[in-house]
This record gives sequence, structure tokens and C-alpha cells, in this order.
Amino acid sequence: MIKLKINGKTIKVQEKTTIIEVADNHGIEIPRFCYHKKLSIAANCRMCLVEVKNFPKPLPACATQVTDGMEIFTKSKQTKECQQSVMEFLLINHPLDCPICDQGGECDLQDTAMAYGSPKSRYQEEKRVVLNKNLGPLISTDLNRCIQCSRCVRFLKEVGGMQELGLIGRGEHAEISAYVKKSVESEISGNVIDLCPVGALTSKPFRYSARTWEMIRKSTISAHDSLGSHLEAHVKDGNVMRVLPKENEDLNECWISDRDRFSYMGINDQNRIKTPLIKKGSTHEPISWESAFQLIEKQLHPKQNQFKPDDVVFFASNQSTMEEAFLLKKMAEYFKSDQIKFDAANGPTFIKQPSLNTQVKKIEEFESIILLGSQLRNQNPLILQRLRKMALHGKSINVINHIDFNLQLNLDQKVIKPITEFKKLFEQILKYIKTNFKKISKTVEQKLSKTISNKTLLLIGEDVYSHPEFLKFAPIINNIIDETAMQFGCLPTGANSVGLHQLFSYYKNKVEVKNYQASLTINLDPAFDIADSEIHEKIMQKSKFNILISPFLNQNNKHYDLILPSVTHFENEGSFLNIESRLQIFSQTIVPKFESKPLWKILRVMGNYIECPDFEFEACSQITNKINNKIHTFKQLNLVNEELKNYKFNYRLANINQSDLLVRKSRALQDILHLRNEK
Amino acid sequence: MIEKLKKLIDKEVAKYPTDKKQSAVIAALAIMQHHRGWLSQDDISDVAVYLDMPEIAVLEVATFYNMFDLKPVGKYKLSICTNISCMLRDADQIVDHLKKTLKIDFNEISKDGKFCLKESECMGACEGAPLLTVNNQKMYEHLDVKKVDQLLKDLK
Amino acid sequence: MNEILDKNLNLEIKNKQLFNICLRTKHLKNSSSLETYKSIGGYEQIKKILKNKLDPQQLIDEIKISGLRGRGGAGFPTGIKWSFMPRDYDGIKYIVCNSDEGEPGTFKDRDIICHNPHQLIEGMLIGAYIMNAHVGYNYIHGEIWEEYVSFEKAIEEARKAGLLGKNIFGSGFNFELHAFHGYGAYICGEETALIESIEGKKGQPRYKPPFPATYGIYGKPTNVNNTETYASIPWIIENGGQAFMAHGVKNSGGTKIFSISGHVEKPGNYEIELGMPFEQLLNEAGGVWKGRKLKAVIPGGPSTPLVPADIIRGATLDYDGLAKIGSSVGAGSMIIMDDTTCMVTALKRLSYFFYEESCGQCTPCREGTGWVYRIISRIYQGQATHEDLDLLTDVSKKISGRTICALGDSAATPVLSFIKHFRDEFEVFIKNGKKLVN
Ligand SMILES: Cc1cc2nc3c(=O)[nH]c(=O)nc-3n(C[C@H](O)[C@H](O)[C@H](O)COP(=O)(O)O)c2cc1C
Ligand code: SF4
Ligand code: FES
Repeated sequence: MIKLKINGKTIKVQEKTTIIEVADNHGIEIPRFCYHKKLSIAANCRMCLVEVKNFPKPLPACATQVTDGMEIFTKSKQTKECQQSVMEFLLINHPLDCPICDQGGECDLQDTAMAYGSPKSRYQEEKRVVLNKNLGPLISTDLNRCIQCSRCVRFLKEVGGMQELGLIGRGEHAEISAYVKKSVESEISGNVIDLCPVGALTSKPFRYSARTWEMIRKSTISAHDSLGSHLEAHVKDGNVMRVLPKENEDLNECWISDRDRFSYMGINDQNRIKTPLIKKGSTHEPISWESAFQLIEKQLHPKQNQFKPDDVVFFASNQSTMEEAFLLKKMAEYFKSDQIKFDAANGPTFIKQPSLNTQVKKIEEFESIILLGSQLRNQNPLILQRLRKMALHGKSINVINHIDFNLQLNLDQKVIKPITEFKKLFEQILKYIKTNFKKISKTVEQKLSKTISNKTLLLIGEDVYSHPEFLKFAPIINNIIDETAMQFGCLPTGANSVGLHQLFSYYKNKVEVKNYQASLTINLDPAFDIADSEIHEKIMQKSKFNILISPFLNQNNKHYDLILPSVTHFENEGSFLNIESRLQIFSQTIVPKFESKPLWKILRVMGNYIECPDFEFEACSQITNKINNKIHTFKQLNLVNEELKNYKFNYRLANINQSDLLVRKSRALQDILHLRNEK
Repeated sequence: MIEKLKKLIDKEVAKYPTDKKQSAVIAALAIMQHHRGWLSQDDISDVAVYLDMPEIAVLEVATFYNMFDLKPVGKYKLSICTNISCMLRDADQIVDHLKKTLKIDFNEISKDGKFCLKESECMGACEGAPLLTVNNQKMYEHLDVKKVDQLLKDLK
Repeated sequence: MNEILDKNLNLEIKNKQLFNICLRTKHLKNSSSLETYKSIGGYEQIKKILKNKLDPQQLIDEIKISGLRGRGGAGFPTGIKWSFMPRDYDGIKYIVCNSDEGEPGTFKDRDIICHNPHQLIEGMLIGAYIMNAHVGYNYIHGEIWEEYVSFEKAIEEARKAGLLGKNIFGSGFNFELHAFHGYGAYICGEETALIESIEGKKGQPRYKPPFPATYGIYGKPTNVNNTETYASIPWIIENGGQAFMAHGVKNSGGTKIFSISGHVEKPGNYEIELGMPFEQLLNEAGGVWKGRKLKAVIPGGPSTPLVPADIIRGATLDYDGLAKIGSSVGAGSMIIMDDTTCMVTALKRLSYFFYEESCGQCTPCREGTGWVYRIISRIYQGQATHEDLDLLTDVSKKISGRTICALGDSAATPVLSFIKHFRDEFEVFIKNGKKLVN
């Protein structure tokens, strides 16, 4: 700790902090544009210049580390004069078009100009004109407004992992650009919209659709991956107009993925189911909810139907909330059915309760990471972002996988082999570890064994722990854990994968192909969301009464006798257990569209009609209160018994823009897919 | 990329640590430019691939350094210094003469496609002011109108 | 340091003369060849150092005694700078020679590279030994291609002779030197921009601290010196710091090359003993051309303040002497202007230069240099008012001291000094829209 004076007040602060950090921690305002706490320091805007005693020149607060006895003046004449002049310089080439700018009302430049600028400009010449660039379907440019702070460039390079934007040209002519005719492709690119302190980069889908002060801000949680980013949906007239990150250091920091940002565009998709539908010949016709439930009573009430155990089959999505899953579980028990499937892409898993096994933010405390078989960039981009940060800080990131994905980060070691060879690989690593291997390492196995210690985190992707081969090498990994005290965590993909594992024995997650009395397909499209979609098709053909509950029509609807409109995530309420087993509760951001209803309500009423016991819930929160999740951490991989060892593995490539129903309906996210496919 | 150019670039790459190929980017672009006379988009992309850099990072470099030309410049690019030391020794007269003779302004190419005139900053050779360079490599010093005429004649 | 200062006190200011240290071989035949350099005792110093494994600290002390100050413009004492390099750092370290001279009117490093490359190489070798660095780069100005090629040749020659590479003079000491060819960016003369450029990026200066000595090329400790600085070293080691100091005056040890351009009879490089009266040097350069009268002088390049004739007349050319008249030695790029020079035209060209060459990263320089140039252009076109002159001064002052690198300061310097000394010329332009002089 050192002592310094800021505006005459003596304070004690940590060494190696910058003036701006000290000021921020003490609520002292220093204006800034280029500085961002998550990016490297550029010190180029000069807005943060402050007077410091005994320094002839003002110093940039963002780049100057405090020293013992320093005296800083953030409001002195010199400081103010610097701020005013930098502001004047910035405005000489900035258009005065605030009234038509999307950033108006939430613009750092506008605010700072009000607070620190002078009312009159002495610049008489013409302003610079910069041609706009097409950066793709998400980001819209108005480069006359750019103040060259380079935040967007630094973000894509440092956090996105790949320099996709640059400041080309030099001096006054420097302008933001992507490479000739290229658009920005990072899966987290939308963050540059938030980072841009002016209206130079704005959201293309949101463009001109609302002014900031017209919208109501509602908090919610991401439904697209197991991290559960904290979001803020901005609502106007009952519609989500845009989605922004809500800062949360533990999980998403201040970022969100493009999928989180733009999925809302799917809410009003034309495939949205407006009312309950009943099958009539080869088409479906609207019916009322009332008659829909009466039909369900007729077809599903155990007293009116002679059901044997396992006569009703359930397919549900791994985005199902805790509450929805809880009701489904009770209903399945009522039908004495074990035939319930939650997996999305890859089938059942072989770890009993896969979760990160630690906190997300603690990942960064490890010295080395071994990423085993994950498609992280398409599954959990913000966790990948943390690994990039670690690599930038010189930590060792290693990959073992059967497909060579480009993670856009600096890897220490990379091993690409068929999964069937993983066993041998781990055996060799174990061998080197046991012999206390220290010599110069030549082979990857030697190099890897050298990096493994109690400061190592092994991250296992869902693709691998869903593979029967995993059962063969997992015991060896356990041996390595014994030898080195290495830690491990799993990377489940679905928003509530962890919760579903806790509520159900997820690994039993298997349905038989047989003649069912009834089936329920809930919030998923088998064509995309079920590992073995043929099984689903066969079951549909054989099952007597098929219900689809979903916000959207599926690719193929011909087998559904009854279709019920549920809501999308933004119209829903409930909770998810995220990757670190944190229960995250969210409420509705908008009222349900058309005649759709939240799934928990549909299940609840269904339960009432068919006389399921204990289904009398008035509010979603009553169900939440019943759920009592326990957070487990494990020292060893705890595997399922081998009953599933002959399971046929279906490997699916994850596509970040096709991960679930809502994402697939978002126009902007689909446009990116098309752009990539064209290449 | 042509083998011959690769060899030249490799020589530059060898000056830096093996994981720092990017250090040779300016040299590589210069080599490409000298070959074609200017830098096409393909040249820039080729250099990016060859040095394992993001294309935009190569473009940043190509647009930052003055001596790169991202548009054709004719057979001979005449870069004439007009900075203070040359100006004091009447570089402006040479400029006027060139413009008149070639019937072009700065950054234009003469009708026959032979000459392009560029205004340049100080070349670090003011002893010989006024002066110009041809295609970034050959310098002609102590210019006067007569010498310029001879030069234009010599450049076939 | 005091001790060093005391030793200078009795140095004479008068009777300074031209004396070649860095340009020792220029007048010889085949000046750039290894043979020529060897004929004047070349590479004997590094040989002596390596053979006897001389103590780096002692060598640094010798350089401190010599009073050698950086010749790149800032004039920082070289001995002190070299002691900043972390000696016990056990990773790679770099030394860099800055031959990017892009400051208008500077052309001295070109002469060294052209005529005395081996003295530079030997200077770098000695530096490398003292700072325990094993790789060096010489960053050569983009517009001088032929000199780059000839320096590459010199390196090759030295390498073949075993003077570069592994195990030099059988001492076990390794040093590899490479030439880097710039491609047209004045800013790359700034040491951190130069480092960025060597890393294969745009030449945008880094914020300091950290200084190159702790965070240079690829983040490794790096020492950057000007060509003339390195080239002075072998002579200092040969003859001793004291002898070098004796060629200069107090606070300004040794000789310094002045590049004289503009309105003189014999433009060129003149290596003078520091402390030489201005008039004497002007005489050496043949006086003002065409028998005209001297109007003003920029003594050290446009980033040093312009001085009117009557002020510079009595001045001596050394760090203190020029400071006394409100200017500085800079890189020794002396620009002479005769009485036909229009100051508005001259300033317009200089401000265009800084506007063109601003790297563009920091706001005051990026926006300010363009603004300054536009105001001057407005004055030049007779479309300005008297307030514009104050605006011009004010804008320049608001660039100065607020930027990442010193280019911002440099850009303001000519504006402030031109207006200070020749305000009337600007006012006439504003009033009549034409030159006071013709
Ligand atoms: C805009 C700018 C341009 C510069 N150009 C040069 C240059 O061309 N050559 C040079 O040696 N130093 C130049 N410098 C100074 C260098 O940053 C650095 O101080 C110098 O190379 C150190 O060497 P020295 O101590 O031997 O002078 C420049 C500085 C600035 C701010
Ligand atoms: S002062 Fe000018 S040249 Fe120097 S860093 Fe700032 S913008 Fe770049
Ligand atoms: S915030 Fe410090 S210079 Fe931009």
C-alpha cells in the first residue's frame, strides 16, 4: 500500500494501480474515451490528462501508475484546460448530428462534451468525410463520427482473438476498416457496439428503431449457453428492441456473445405458432386452449386410457428451466415413464453430474489449461475469451481434440487424434508423470506431462464425455489427478444442462423405439436438436398421439396431432442452474405474444386436466422454492455405471448460430451463416 | 507468389526470430511492390498468408508507410521532395516544370502511362536539394530544369 | 557527474574547428570499405575490448566522461542511457541504431552509412558488448535505398571477416547485426515507433513508461541510439573520454555533424567541434548564397525553434549556446534562410509536413496539426483575420506537451517561433493577402 493525495485528500491505495483506477475506485470522475478496463491501454485519446504535482506536463490517468506521495489534481485549472482542449480537438471533425444519431442520449462524447467541453467551436474549416464500410449483418458504421479511440480494434484483437478491424491510413486520414470486402466474423463481435464511445459503430438490426429514453430496461439471463450471461433487454411497446450485456464480473464480465445479443430478433418470426392447432387431414387448424386441454384430457388422462409404464415418451430441450423440468419430472412419474430425453446434440453423458466444478472467474487463477474435446468457440465463447486472456498473460493453454478447431488463441500444445487414441495418449502422459519427467521434452506427451500440476485445470467438453470411448480413458485421467492434484471441470453446453442433470439421471437419457400411447416434443426441433433424429421420426410414426409444445413450427410437423404455442425465452420466467451450479432466476421481459403461454403454465394446466397430484402452483416462484439444488464439487471424475457403453455416438458439429429454436429464427444471425456458407 | 520473390522475402524473414515473421512485413510489401510497380489487393493478401498475419494488419502497414502505392503509378514514379530545404532551393520550379512537361498534377499518371508524379517529404539528402527519386530507389540530386529534361529523356 | 563537469571548466570556447570523428573516412578513397576503415585503425577497439574482456562499467564511465550526448535530437547523455539497460537480465536484449533521419534538413546519418559504415558497426559492437546484447538492427530511412544496399554490403563484409556473427575475435562473444529498411514515415524516427515498425506494425509510438530499456522490441530490453552516437564510440574508446570532451565545450563534449542546407553556397555535412561560433560555420559553408543577407536560421531541424539572424550571430553551436538563444542543437540540421524567404510560405510547408506525418493516434496531434495547417493556409490565401493568429498560437500550445510522443511538441515549435519573430509578416499577409518579401 502507498499513500497519495488526490484533490487534496490523502488516500491509501494498492501499488501498481493507475491513476484512473484509483479515481474510479474512489468515485472521482475522470473523463475518458480510449481507456477500457478490459482492454490494453492505448492512452491515445488524451481525454484523461490530469495535473500531477512536480510534473511539467499533464499525465494520462489511464496509463500512469501511481507512486508514493503523488499529488493528483483532477479539477485544477490545468486539468480543466486540457480536458476542454482535447474536447475541442475531438469535436472539430465530429458531425453535429446528435438528433439523428442512434447513440444520442447514451453517447460518451455527447455527455463528456456537455460536462467538459466549451460551448463554441473555433474551427471553421470543413469536417473530414469518411466513407462507411459494410461490416456485415450486425454492425452498422457511421465513420464520420469515429474518434479513433481504437477500442474496437483492440477488442477484436485481444478479446475476439483475431484482428478483424484496423485503423488504416495515418494521421487525420486514419479510418476504421475491415479488410477489403470482409465482414467481421467474431462470435462476440457485437461488443464493439457497446465499446464504441460514439455512434460510429451501432447495431444494424436496432438501427433507428427506438430512442434510448423510450425503452424500459429489463434484466434477464442468457438462454443460449451454460454460462448464463446477465443481460438487459430494452423493451418498447411490448417488444424487445435490443439486448445488451449487464456487467457481471463472475460470469460474462461486460461482454455477451452475438447469439445473446441478437437472438431476440427471432421472437416475432413468421413461424411463430399463434394459437393451439389441431391436425385436420394433412394440415393443422386453430382451436381454443380450452378445447386443446379437453383433447389432452381425453387422450392422456390415465383413468380414461389404459397406460402401461413407459407408455408416454418425452423429448425436451436442455434449455428447459428448472421449473419446467420439475413439472415434467412429476408428470413422467405420474405416467410411470422413464422415457424422457433432454440431450440436445450429442446424446447421453457418461459423467454423473458434469459441471465446471469451480467458479468461472477462478479459471483464470490456474496456470495451465488442458482443453479436452470441446467446440468452445461455438458452444461457450465467453469462457473461451477467458482462456484468450490467460494466453495473453503468458499462461499455458493446451488442446487435445479429435477435430482441429480454430480457437483464435495462442496455444502452447495441440494434439489432434481420433478419440480412440486418447486412451493411449493419456497412458503415456501418466507414464511420464509417474517417472517425474523433467528432461527436455520432445514429444507432445512429454511436453504435456510437464505442464500438468495442481495448478492445471482439465476442461472436458460435452463431445468427449458423451462418447462411449470416454469410459475407457477416464480412469487414467483419474490416475493423473491422483498423481498431480490437477483439477478438472466439464463444459456442458445447454442453458440448464447442469440443472437437468441434477433433477434427472441425465445419463439414463435414452428412449426406446417402440409403440407409445403418446409423445410430447417440447421446445425443440428434432431436425436440429436431437442427436439421433431418426429415432424421433420412428417414434412419431408409431406413437398414437403426438403433441408438440413450442413457440415455433418445426421443419416437419406432419406427425403432430396437437400443437401448443409456448413462449420464447424473453416471454418466459423461471431459473437455470448454470455451468458453475449457480441458480439464476429470471422473469418475463415482455408479455407472451399471441395466445402463447409459458411452458410451466401449460404443463401446470395439463396436469390439472389429467389430475396429476401436487400440481396446484399459482406462481412460477412457488415451484422454484420447491427446488433445492445442491452444489457438488468432485475431486475425481465420477462416472456412470457402464450400462450405456454400447451407445452409438453421434457426433455433431456445433454451430453457434443454430444452437436452438430462437437463435435459428434470428434473421441477423442467420444472415451471418449464409455469408460464411457463400465463401 | 513467385518463387523469386519468396526467396527475397525469406532473406528478410531470416533477420528476425522464427516466431516473429511479421517483422518482415514492410520488406515483403516493398519486394512485392517493386515487382509489380504497385501493391494490388492480391499482393497484400499473399503477404498476409506468407507471413501468417491477419490481412487487415498488413493493410494497416501498407497504408501507413508513404512509399507504398495501392494504385498503379505508371512505369516511373517520380517522387519529388518539396520540404523546406528543397523548397528553399526552388523545388517548386522543378515541380512546375515537371507538371507542365508531363501534363499531369501530383498523383496523376501521364497519358502514355509512363510517369507518375508524387509529392514527397524530406528524403534525408538535402545536401543535393532539389532532388527526386525514381521508383523509390534511384535518387537524382542537384536538379535544375535542364537535368530534369535529360532525365525524362533517359527514362525510356 | 560533477567531477566530469569540473573537468570541462577550463575548456576554451574559441578556436573551434572542423574535426572529423564520425566522418573520419569520408575524404579517403573507397571510403566505405573495410580495408579503408582498418587502415585508420578500425575494429582495433572492439578487438582490444574483447581480448582483454574490459569491464563494461569502466567503458560506460569513459563514455560518461566524454560528455557524449545523443545525436538523434534529444541530447540525452549516452553513458547514462547505456547504464539503464538491465545487465543481469538473462533473456534476449537488443540494440538498435536509429538511421531513420526524417527531420527535414537532416542528412548526416546518410553520410556515415555511406562513407564510414564500419565505424558505426564497431560502435554498435562496443555497445553490444557493454550492454550484453547479441542482436542489433539498423533502421535506415526509407528514401535512401542505395545507402541501405551499401550498408547491407558493409555488414556482409564484416560478417565475412568474422567481425559479426559468432565468437568474434575468438572471444566467445556473439553479435548479429541486420539492416532494416523503412518505407516512408518520419514518425518511425521516434524510438518507440521505430520499435513498433521493426515488429512489423504501423509506426505508432508507445506510451512511455515503460521505456525501451525495459520493454523494447518484442517486449525485450532494447537500447536505441542515433547513428552518429554509435559512430562516435570507437574514437572515444581509442582516445579516451577526456580527449573527446576536449573537442567540445562544457556540457557539450566532442564533435557534432551539422547538416547545412537551404540558402548557403555549399550545403553539406560539417563535423565541428561543439562550441564553434555560428558565423564560423556559416563561413565554412560558403556563406549565404548569391551574396544575399541572412534572415533566419533553424539551427537543429524544424523541431528546434527558428532564430532570426541578429540573434544567432553571436551564438556558439553547442547545447548551452543554443539554449541561451532559445533554441537547441536538435539533430544539427541547420536550415539557412536568406532575406528573400517568405516566413508564411516556409511555415505553411513545415506545418504541412507535421500534418502529413502525424501518426494519428493521439487526439491533439491528429486533429491539431491539420487545424494548424488549415489556419496557415487560410492566412496564406488572405482569408484570415487577426484573431486567427492568436488562434494559431493557442491551438499549437494545446498540442504541445499533451501527446504521446514529441512530434506534437515539434509541430508546435515552428509555429510559435515563426510567429514570435516574424509576426509582422503574418499580419501583412492577413491584411493584404500577399507576401511581405518577394
Ligand atoms: C517525431 C520524432 C522523430 C525522431 N526522429 C529521429 C531520427 O530520425 N533519428 C534519430 O536518431 N532520432 C530521432 N528521434 C529521437 C529518438 O526518439 C531517440 O530519442 C533517439 O534515437 C535516441 O538516440 P540518441 O540518444 O542517440 O539521440 C525522433 C524523435 C521524435 C519525437
Ligand atoms: S504526437 Fe502525433 S505522432 Fe506522436 S503519438 Fe501522438 S499522434 Fe502519433
Ligand atoms: S482514456 Fe487515457 S488517453 Fe484515452
